[in-house]
Amino acid sequence: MKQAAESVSIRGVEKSFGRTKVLKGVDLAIEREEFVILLGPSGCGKTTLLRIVAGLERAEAGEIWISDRRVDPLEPKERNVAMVFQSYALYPHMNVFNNQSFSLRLRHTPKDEIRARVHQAAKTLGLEQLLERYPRELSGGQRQRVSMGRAIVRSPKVFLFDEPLSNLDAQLRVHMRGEIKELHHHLNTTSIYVTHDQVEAMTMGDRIVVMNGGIIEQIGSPLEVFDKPKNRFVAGFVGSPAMNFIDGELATNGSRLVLRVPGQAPVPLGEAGTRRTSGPATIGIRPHHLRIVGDGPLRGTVKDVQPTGVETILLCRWADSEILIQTTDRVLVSAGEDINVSADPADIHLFDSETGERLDA
Amino acid sequence: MRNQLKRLASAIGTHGFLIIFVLISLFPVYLMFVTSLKSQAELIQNVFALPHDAKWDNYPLIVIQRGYYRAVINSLLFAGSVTIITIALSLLAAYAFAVFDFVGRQLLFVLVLVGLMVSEVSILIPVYQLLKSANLLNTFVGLVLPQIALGLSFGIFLMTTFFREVPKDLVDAARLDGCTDLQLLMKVMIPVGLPAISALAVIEFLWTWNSFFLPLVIATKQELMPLAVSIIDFMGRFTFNYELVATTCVIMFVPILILYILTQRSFRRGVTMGAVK
Repeated sequence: MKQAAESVSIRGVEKSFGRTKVLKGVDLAIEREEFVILLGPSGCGKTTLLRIVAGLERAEAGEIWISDRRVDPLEPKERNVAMVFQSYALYPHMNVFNNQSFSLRLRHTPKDEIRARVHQAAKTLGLEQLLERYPRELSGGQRQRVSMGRAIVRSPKVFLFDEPLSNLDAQLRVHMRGEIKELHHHLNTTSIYVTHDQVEAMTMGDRIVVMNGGIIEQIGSPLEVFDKPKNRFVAGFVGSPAMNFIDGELATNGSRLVLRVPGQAPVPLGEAGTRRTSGPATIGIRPHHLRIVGDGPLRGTVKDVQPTGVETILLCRWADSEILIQTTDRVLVSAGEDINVSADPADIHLFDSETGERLDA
Repeated sequence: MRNQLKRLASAIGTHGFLIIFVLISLFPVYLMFVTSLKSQAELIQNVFALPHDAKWDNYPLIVIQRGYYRAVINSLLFAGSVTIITIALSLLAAYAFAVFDFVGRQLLFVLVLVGLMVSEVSILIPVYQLLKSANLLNTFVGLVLPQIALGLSFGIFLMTTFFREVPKDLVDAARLDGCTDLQLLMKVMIPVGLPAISALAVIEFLWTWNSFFLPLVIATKQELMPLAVSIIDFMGRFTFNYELVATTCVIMFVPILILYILTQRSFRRGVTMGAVK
């Protein structure tokens, strides 16, 4: 069932729906056996890009290559890719066996081989007892496994996943994440996975491709994207709770670079290769990097305290700014109290206020 | 105790209303059936009562002795072929409207919908002229063609609506699995659309089976006449054979009843599709 994995190359792909340009020249190279996540908000073009790779949409410009074969002029069935849909897309009039064997039957695969491949897939996914059942008789998780089984019996060169876990409840989603990862380790097929769920992206992908407004904002490993976001959009989109942004003016305080924030003490910044030392800038601090300390440079009023058991989230305001603080300490503050917070300068990200580009290394 | 009485009163009220409704609905069927088993003399004496001595020989009299088996066969052939051809054409057209994106799709679909507003009577004379010039009067083809044309608008409309509700992902999955356009229709859309197809079959069959005006004008020869038209044989200028008309009506009623019983599950799903999630 295992087939040699292939690389995928997306070159200058453009696509519009009416007057709306949803993909503005996307370039992406995916290595063999790689598990790549397309992550972005709704309408960023990630599903359209996946459908173009599958052949379900035609690009207006650009090329799609699977290994050394250009596939964008080909029909979906000629590309040897398999797709797992958010809605499962199981044929309601066929039982699990027939759902899984449908593509093989269309290709006139010998019956013995069909049986062997379906049973192998069913064994891999724990579906052996369900082969006679119809989709309406299955739970959401079982349906999604059948959908994956239907994809793997074909031994495709590339797996495409279109938000496959979005219809599942939170607990099942965590379980299925593990199953998909395990399946990838087992089959090692090149996979492209679309999601808007950053936890899925962080935990499953070899690399994350962050998309926004039809362009790729950043490509990198999950930790790279999290630790060194290339711009303000990526910084704000990846991570939950979202990163805090504070606008100010860059200045030097002696030999130290600081951000002057109106009504606050100067916030000391890191030394690492900042591109400029003056002018308007925005700092980004992840909520878990903020600590409550008596002499912290930022002072505000606690507006809300949200204890979740494992951690506590505080909402703190000053003037028209608002920041979130996430801590695993059992903090003894209540709404209405004033607190001072600070962050390690190494954990502060610096962005250009106008372009949103990262200023520090 | 009070609540129980309230519930009981409510149940009696609801069931009483439903029973009356059912009786009113079934009364014409009862009247038709008992009339078919009476002699003319007994019918005049008492219209509504059960027959004293059921005259079952009205049935063989109509079907065999008077040769109306030919009309039954004509009706079956007429309704059967119109239903099959209308469904086949509706499926193909609806599939194109629902799945393919082509220039003029909306306009064409609107034109199809306009067909729903055309009444049979309004086109009777042009259709007659058309068939006459094509030498199709008093032919089976001439009988069937206009009936198909009249039924197509509804068939295309019903099936397009159903096919549009088939999730797009299902169509995409079938394409990725390797379906050609025809395979997608035959192996996915039609099996998924069976409830709507059953509903269309029953409606189309019933409509053609009961069709009167077009066959009356087009098929004047006895050997081509369907059952619905043959009823006029029992209506003279000064006489009216109620019991034989009723017998013919029962004969007309039975195939529809059988068809409905056979397809009722799918039919119900078809006519209520989209009503509930």
